[in-house]
Amino acid sequence: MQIHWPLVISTVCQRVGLGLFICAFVGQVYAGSPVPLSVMAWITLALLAVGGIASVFHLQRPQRFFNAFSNLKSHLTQEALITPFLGVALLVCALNGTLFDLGVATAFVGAVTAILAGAFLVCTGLAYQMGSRPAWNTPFVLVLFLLTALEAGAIGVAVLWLAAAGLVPTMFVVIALVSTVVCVIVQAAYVVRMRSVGYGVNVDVMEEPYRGPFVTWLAAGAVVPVVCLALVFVVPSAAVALAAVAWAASAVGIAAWTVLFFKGARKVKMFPMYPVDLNLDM
Amino acid sequence: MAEKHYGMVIDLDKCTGCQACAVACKMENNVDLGVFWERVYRMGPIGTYPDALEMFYFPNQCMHCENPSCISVCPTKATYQTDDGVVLVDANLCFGCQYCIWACPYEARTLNPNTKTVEKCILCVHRLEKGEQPMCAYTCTTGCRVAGDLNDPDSRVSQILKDNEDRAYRVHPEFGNKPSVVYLLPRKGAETLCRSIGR
Amino acid sequence: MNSQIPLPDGGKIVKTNCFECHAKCGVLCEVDKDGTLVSVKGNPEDPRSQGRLCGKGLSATKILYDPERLRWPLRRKGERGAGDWERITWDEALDWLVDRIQTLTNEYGAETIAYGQGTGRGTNQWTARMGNAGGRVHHSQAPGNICLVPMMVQSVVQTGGFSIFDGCDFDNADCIVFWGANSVWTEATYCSGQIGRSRDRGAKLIVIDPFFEHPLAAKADYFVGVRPGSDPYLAMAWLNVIIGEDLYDHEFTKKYTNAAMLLIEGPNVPLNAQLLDPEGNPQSMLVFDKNTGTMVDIHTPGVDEDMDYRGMVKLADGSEAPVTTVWNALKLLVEPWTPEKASELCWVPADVIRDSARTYATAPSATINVFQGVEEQTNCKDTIQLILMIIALCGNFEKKGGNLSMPFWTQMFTLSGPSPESATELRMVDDRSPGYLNGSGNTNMIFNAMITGEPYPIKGYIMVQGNPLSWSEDTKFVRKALMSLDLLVCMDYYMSPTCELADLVLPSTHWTERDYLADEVCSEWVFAQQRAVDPLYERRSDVWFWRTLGNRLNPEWWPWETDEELFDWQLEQTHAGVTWDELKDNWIHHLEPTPSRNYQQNGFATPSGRVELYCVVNLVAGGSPFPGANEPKESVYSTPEVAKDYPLTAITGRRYPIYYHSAYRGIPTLREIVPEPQVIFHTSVAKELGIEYGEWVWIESPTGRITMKARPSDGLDPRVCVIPHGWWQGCKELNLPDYPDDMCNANVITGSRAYSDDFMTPGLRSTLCRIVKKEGGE
Repeated sequence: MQIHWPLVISTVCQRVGLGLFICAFVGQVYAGSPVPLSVMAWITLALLAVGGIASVFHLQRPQRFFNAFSNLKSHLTQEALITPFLGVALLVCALNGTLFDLGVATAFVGAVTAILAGAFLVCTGLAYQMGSRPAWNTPFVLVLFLLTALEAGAIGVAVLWLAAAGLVPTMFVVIALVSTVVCVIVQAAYVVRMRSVGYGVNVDVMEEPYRGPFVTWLAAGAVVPVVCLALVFVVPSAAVALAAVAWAASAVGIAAWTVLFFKGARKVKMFPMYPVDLNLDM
Repeated sequence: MAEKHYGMVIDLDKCTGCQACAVACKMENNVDLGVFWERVYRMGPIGTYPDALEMFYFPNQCMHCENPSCISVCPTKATYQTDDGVVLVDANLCFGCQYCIWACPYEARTLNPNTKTVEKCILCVHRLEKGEQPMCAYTCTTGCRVAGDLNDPDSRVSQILKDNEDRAYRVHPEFGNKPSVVYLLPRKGAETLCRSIGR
Repeated sequence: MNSQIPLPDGGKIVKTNCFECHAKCGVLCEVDKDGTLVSVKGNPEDPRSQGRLCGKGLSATKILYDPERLRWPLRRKGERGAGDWERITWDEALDWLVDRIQTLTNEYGAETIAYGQGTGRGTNQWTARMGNAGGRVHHSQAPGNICLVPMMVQSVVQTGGFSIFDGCDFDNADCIVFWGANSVWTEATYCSGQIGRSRDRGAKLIVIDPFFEHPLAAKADYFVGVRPGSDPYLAMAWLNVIIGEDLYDHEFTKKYTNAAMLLIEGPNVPLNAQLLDPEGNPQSMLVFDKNTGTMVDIHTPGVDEDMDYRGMVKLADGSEAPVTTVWNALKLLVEPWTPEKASELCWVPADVIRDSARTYATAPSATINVFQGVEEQTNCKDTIQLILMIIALCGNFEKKGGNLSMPFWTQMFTLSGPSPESATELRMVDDRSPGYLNGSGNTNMIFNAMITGEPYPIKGYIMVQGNPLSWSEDTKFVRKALMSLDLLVCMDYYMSPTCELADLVLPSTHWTERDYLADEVCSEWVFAQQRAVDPLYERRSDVWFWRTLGNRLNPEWWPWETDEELFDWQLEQTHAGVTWDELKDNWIHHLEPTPSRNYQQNGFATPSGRVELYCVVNLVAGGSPFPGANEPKESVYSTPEVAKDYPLTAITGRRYPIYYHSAYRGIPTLREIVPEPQVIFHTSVAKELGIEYGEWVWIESPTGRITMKARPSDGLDPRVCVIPHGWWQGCKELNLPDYPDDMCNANVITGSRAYSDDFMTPGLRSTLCRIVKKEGGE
């Protein structure tokens, strides 16, 4: 199918941003954090704002945006309903410590925000799981939305911790590395699955027009982050730079992956038993 | 009396691909250029000339499914189903997110670049309600399409379905959409299709 | 008035007939209270179309109000073809035109003006009358030689009627044959719905066509994929099977064909009564009576005719001659044409030929629909005659479910008036074709006379709805001819390529804005094809134009003051039994069936009173009384030296159900369905030439070259290709450009080297050509 760039931008921003917040929150709970959660929240808010603007621009009649809240069964409505709560929650986290101090409630608000963020990602993932697009007709779609968020989030946290504390938070770099590897493995499984989805719409990513985004993903989304994160242990002096490169590459990788995700989502053929398509020639 | 369930039967054995339905639909419903609520596709010819060749025409429009996948994904409730089973789009609600276009397995929906909302066949409900055939069926040069109440066993559409049960085919039944547009398989020219669905 | 139904809001529904093709489906036009045409849909009261209507007819509002349509008379100001026009009134136009015609006539004689049209659909007779009224000769500069004339004239001389067009009784047939005809797309009225119904009740379907994309080919019980122009072999083989396997209708063949007619064996000329007795009637054809053992006139009742007679006879001049029958001669003629032998030449598997022939012949009733695939060939007379023989031998003439003659066709001839005395002497034919059965000259020679003045000058050409740059073979030559004229007048809907070269361009009314009679191709009905709205701008109908111009030039030929008076005269001449006013009131009127419908009583309107297998009229006209298994005059077999460089056999004339010839490429709602011209050839050819789908390619022939988009298909023989015609017009609303300089015009590649002997038909549907990949930048 055609690539909807606003959706590529918005889903990439959502995953990078929400992933960052969730990982940062979890990291803070378990390990404490040299970077205040409010900073994380500001970054997430900024990314969500970019993503939100992009997704509104995807609408052909953006002025009707408020119609989005009408159908509770639609994952898009669900996503839309979560958005204001998520926004407010993030804003509260962001302002915590400057405008006001939540004190002991900080952890609770952070948890609620992280849960809303996770729910948001789940709704987005579910929205794309649809029978008419065999490549998307699989739980892989949801799993990958979450895994890509985890990967980007974990790397992001590692980058920010390194920048703030100048230390190698070994556990977090390891988590980032492991989640990246797991994500890449699942993405590879998705690619393999696309080769045999049936309905006459199998996709071989080594063929055009899939090859470009696939190779880009492979480089930016898999090789560069894994290598950079591993090098953090080898060249600790360049840790911040390496981790930052891994983070940026992972964001580019998610974007490339999303392009491939759209391109590969071909609609079922009306008559997949034929090797050719219906045509309109006369 | 039971509720009505409007549907249509299209006999692929009769269709000659003349596109009269496509033009009639445009005229009747003032459909914009570049947008088609109805058009006739062709499969083939495929095979080795002059034997073993297959070809058939396939008029395509909204299937007015009983369980439409477009309705559940629509965040605005612009897409809805009438009590008579017709699936419609309220152009005043639609904001053009196009998720319904993606979710429809039948290529029935189009984004109108002028109105920036999604459009599709309305089964000419304004005509059906007056007891008239949709314009595509009214004008069809081969008489291959008949619309009517599928719940009424005496309606012409029900009769045709009953008489041609062996050829009745709902496209992609496995999605569970339960299309209300039922095709009658061609008696010739679609051997691969018939074989693959066990007919 | 019954034919106009008022609506509560002040508007009305007008019952009339569509005119977008010949079939003239009954329609209901809705007009609002302001006189605007709102919608058009089929009229269920038309017994033929029953409410069905194709995309062309449904587009009436778009065509009526198309801003590109011509609006008022335009006269050329600048150089010919420069597009510099001045708007003038109709009075000015007619005054100027009458003066020009008279000036040219005074200088060169009336033969210097050619009159013509495109497809008549109701003006054939008036265009011809215009020519005849000049008093010298009517040059029919119209595509009759490629459309209708071969089919109609051969039918009429052979069977006394015309029953292979709108006379196919599809609704009752047990076997339906389309032979070189795609009527479900081109004239859906009388066939599409009927065929579906008949197939539902088990009727067999046979499609004889080179192209599997014929909309019925895949549905057919037999798809007979004949090589373009090789139809005579196929027809011979059908007859071989039908006679050889004794599948013919014995009674019909014996009693209602001239099978028993006696011939002198060898030269195969009729043994007429004068040959036996100097006092005898030379027009009396003989049969052998088994009861009396004598030879008697074929019209003698109560004779037990001997179809198989063979013997010697003593002629009046004292010599002895061997005598045989038409039947014996026919059997000898078809005997060599086994399906196996025909198969080699027509590229159809022998078993398909055999089985399809059996299916046709054994059906209780069967009908054959014929059209231009057969007609536009140099051997069209052979094929048509053979098909008529097949129908006759199987007893399918004037039979329920068979081929029925329709009244209009045999009654239209009187309308054009008598040919002038000098018509034969001034007729232009040359050694390419004598044109035995076509009263007009060779259009190509007439175009030549425009350029060279030989054999005498043609200085003027006046046409309605004609665009010879689209319909005539060898477009580049035609363009040169039109540029040489002193007077070119075109009445049209649009500024066609021919109009662009004209001195005077006249705006023609659309069918929704003019009164007409719908009689041609209306089977056994006549309709008042009344206007739904008043003419827009200064548009006039073609009939109005001929009548008014005729009245100015030759009032004795054109005495009618109004169109209504002319319609009344037309209805009277065709024995419709109704006046225009009555007809307009009822919209529809059923005609008396032709006498031959009851042939057991009335016989057929031929010299023998029977369907003529051996066609005496063909013989008298100078042609061959029997059909031959003739190869197209230019083909892979007859001109291998040409085929060496141009190996593909092209059919030009692929139809679209949404266009009529070159009309309506400018209507966006139609054009978006078929936006561009595509040449169709086999996938293997594309592969060999390295051509991809959608690539612009050259199509080259010995005559010229054009370009179209490649569309490889599996649905045809790799030695055949399919070229659509009529592409010149752009579509502004869709940003599709014109195709200037005939760049996509199929007739640029058709040639004027060979014509049918009988009908002067060029072999448009078997044009040798080749596909060439374009090199970078071309």
